[in-house]
Amino acid sequence: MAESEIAGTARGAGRARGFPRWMAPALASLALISCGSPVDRSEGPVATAQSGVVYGEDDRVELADFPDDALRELARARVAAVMAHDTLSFDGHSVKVVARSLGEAANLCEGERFADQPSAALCSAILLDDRTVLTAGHCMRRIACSDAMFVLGYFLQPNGAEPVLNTEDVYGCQEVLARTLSLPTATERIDFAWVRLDRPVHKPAPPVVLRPASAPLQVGETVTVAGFSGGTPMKVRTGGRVADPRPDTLDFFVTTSDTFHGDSGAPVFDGELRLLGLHVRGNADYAATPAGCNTVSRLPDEPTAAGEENTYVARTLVGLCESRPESVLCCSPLQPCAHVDPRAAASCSVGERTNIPFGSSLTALALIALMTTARRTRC
Amino acid sequence: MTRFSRYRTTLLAVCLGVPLVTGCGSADPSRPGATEPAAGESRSNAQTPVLGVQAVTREIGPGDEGSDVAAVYSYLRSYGYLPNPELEKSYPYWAPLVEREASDPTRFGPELEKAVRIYQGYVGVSQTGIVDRATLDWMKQPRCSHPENEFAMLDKREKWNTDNATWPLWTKTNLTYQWAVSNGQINLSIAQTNAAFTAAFTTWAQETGLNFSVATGASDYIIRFYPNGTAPSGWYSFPTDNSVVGNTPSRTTNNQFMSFNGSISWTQSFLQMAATHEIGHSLGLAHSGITSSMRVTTGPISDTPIMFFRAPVSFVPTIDDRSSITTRYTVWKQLNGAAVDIAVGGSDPTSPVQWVTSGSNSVWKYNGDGVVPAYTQAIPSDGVAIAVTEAGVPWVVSSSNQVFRRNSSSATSGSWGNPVGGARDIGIGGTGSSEAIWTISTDSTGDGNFAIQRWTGTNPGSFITYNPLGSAVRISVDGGGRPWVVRADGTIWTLDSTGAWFQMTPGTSCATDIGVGHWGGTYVTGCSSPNGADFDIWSLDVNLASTPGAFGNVDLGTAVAVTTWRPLDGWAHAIAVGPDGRPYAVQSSGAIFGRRSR
Repeated sequence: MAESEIAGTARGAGRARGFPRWMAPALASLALISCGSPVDRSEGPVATAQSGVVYGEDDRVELADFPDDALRELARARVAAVMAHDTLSFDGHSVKVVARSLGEAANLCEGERFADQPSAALCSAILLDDRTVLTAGHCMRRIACSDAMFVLGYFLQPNGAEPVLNTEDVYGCQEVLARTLSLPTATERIDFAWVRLDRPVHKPAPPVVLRPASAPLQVGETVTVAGFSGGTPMKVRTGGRVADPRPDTLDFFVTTSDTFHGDSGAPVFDGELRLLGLHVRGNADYAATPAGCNTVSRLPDEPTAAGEENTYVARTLVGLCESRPESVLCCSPLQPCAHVDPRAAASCSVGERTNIPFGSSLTALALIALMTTARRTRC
Repeated sequence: MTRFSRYRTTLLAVCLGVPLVTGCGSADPSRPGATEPAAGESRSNAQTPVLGVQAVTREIGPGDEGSDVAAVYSYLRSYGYLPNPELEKSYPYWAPLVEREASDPTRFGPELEKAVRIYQGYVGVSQTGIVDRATLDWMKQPRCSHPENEFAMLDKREKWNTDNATWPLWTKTNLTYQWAVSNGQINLSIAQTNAAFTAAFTTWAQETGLNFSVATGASDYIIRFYPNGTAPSGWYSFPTDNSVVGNTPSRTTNNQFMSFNGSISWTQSFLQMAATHEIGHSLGLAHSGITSSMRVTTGPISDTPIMFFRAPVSFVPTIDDRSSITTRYTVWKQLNGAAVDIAVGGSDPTSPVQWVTSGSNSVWKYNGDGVVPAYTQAIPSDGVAIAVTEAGVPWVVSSSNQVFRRNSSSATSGSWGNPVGGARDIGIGGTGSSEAIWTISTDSTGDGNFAIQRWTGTNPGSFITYNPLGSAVRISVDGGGRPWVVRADGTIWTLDSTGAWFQMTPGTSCATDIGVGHWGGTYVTGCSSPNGADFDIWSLDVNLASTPGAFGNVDLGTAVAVTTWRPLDGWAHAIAVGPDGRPYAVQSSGAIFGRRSR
């Protein structure tokens, strides 16, 4: 058989053998090899077509179409799009988004999903108290605080209509409270930024629950991501799975979520809607085609292909509380503000307390406990 | 048509050859489509003008104090070696080469010493950590305004909306430029200035496949000359000591602004070099060190990179310049045929000699760029690995681990003969009498690796184990005859200048195959795979290195970070690099790819 013969001649013991489904078209060329003639041009995919970002099926759906009520409510109230100031056009109370379509911005081929939607968001963020948002560190490096806007409510209506925004959905950046962006070569890679908004958000929002120390992340767990894929109105996708929790470093975890540019900073939840982290990096979004346009990259939904990386939220809280111990997110009923040492063993006593009531305190410590426990440091 | 073009050129000269005055609207950057950088934007002058270093007269070392120490500190801080928030704002991917700032810049402390060592590595002088005469001479030379380590934070895997990112790659292929002398006069004629810019843009057009043409009005490049200290708001203000020749701010709009120092005495070739360097920045290149990857000393390629920070010194692209621009402006194009492994021999960058082994007893030589696959030649058993000499002669490793050597560089004449030894992989590099043939032998070291051997000579010749002992699974050899190997654990090693094994695996990188070109250009396949057989592709991007010259003459221990491996798109099973520094890849499906203009 041609396939096995070629597998046998492939260089290198130790490299896995076998051909996944997406390589089927390329098998034509294998027969040619076994005939000893490399003359015919392979029909196989071009190299770039195999880098990818959609794992298996494309799981992205509009927020309004996502079946889980709790997640929908949470994302509506707390997941903010990061936009450049000049993307927004203010007309009295009303706010309009002015942006190119994703199809144009990313040079997508005809028929690609969401191509006609505006590509307006640069990044995603989550509101974690009434005035503090968490996003990716690289997002707040590429855009100045003075130019960054945080937009709540940027999702399509249930009937598919454009988002309707007003000035109460739009917040400026007052200050970057803390930011860490590790060098790409660092052994532990941390990427987050905490931003204080220019004013508090007064709309009610369901609490965010953080995953406690007693439930470390497991390989194969399903995660859900809510963010602004390609800059378009909010997309939610579930079905991505944890491929590598990196339990030794707990800096980031690797999943197979269908995440794109614009999803940087997007919250990643577990199956019980507990916040795990934020999306920061991943495989290339698009692949060039011979036609000169881009198509969404595809990878098998398998752990070996996983490449979407997410900063653990615990690490972001450690970073915040190191530089801003007075932050409301670093306080707890047990630990008055401004006296919290985020690395102190005392935080372990907080144990399972994980609710973040809106606008109130105590959020971080349970997760910090998670980290310290899992790293087997003294507690 | 000709008349029309000539007319436009004349108009341009009239408008641009004199200081900008009202009424010369076609060159006015405030017109629509050619917006001037706004005041206070990140395009503005990032650095405090560096004045002091010219005044330093003594050698300075650890423990010294004084304003001249502060001048050196300020110089290194301005150009990327020490923490500097203004640089961070202007160059979003920059990171300081030394992470900590000194508590007192007037005292020569450990931070400054570290910065001096790294600077010495960049300019290629002895890394003493002392600001000695040689170092001071370099610091006093005119240079480019860009900092070193400009792309340390660059991570193409970040899911930032790249449409607005400042990674400055042009997406369109036809670009226009306009230049003008404002606020003074330079000492070149219009014709000389035009010729310098034309030549500079032509150099990059050849490397990238982009087209550049002069425009009279709105254009992609807006180029100005400003005398020392007199730039308008938003433009880089040149220090008054002539220490900076050119500035190319990060592109944050659709326009690329660029300015040159109107106060210095230009010659046409000097301007051509400076312009070539600054255009390199606009295309996404950062500063290279003067001592780059292990280039052999003679050959068709210039020694000092265009992107060496002390511009202008050259307008001929080195392999550093070329491999850096290659990763940015080329794409994988599938070549005809199918293969198991590929090797590219020869030493002339313009005529790589490509051979492939395609399994089933056959070895092929390409005539041309793989457009027409040419000749086949059977070997006694399936070839699994191939290497090619400078003269174009292929050596093949068979699936039965035998090495066959062809007695000709021709595919139509010559023969293979009996096996000359045993091996699992083979690499050939070097030139003339220093040509070196290295193999991964069949002698297992018990840890998944196999002893590294070297061919002793021409005839009869045999493979002997190299001392100091090394073992690996993959091998490739550069133009200096130096082996680069990948071990079973994914680490990458080469030999340092003393002949000892030296690890080149910074951070968390991991490799499965390696290819190095005759003049440089180093690529590996990584360890992440969508199918278990093809792996991600990485380039050793010397241009982006924060430790230039990290291959022998620089003490790596002084460097903060080695950020030299950069991801490329695509997946490959085996990789090779031609004498032009461009990579070739073979996938497990047999498909063959070359890197070509997009």
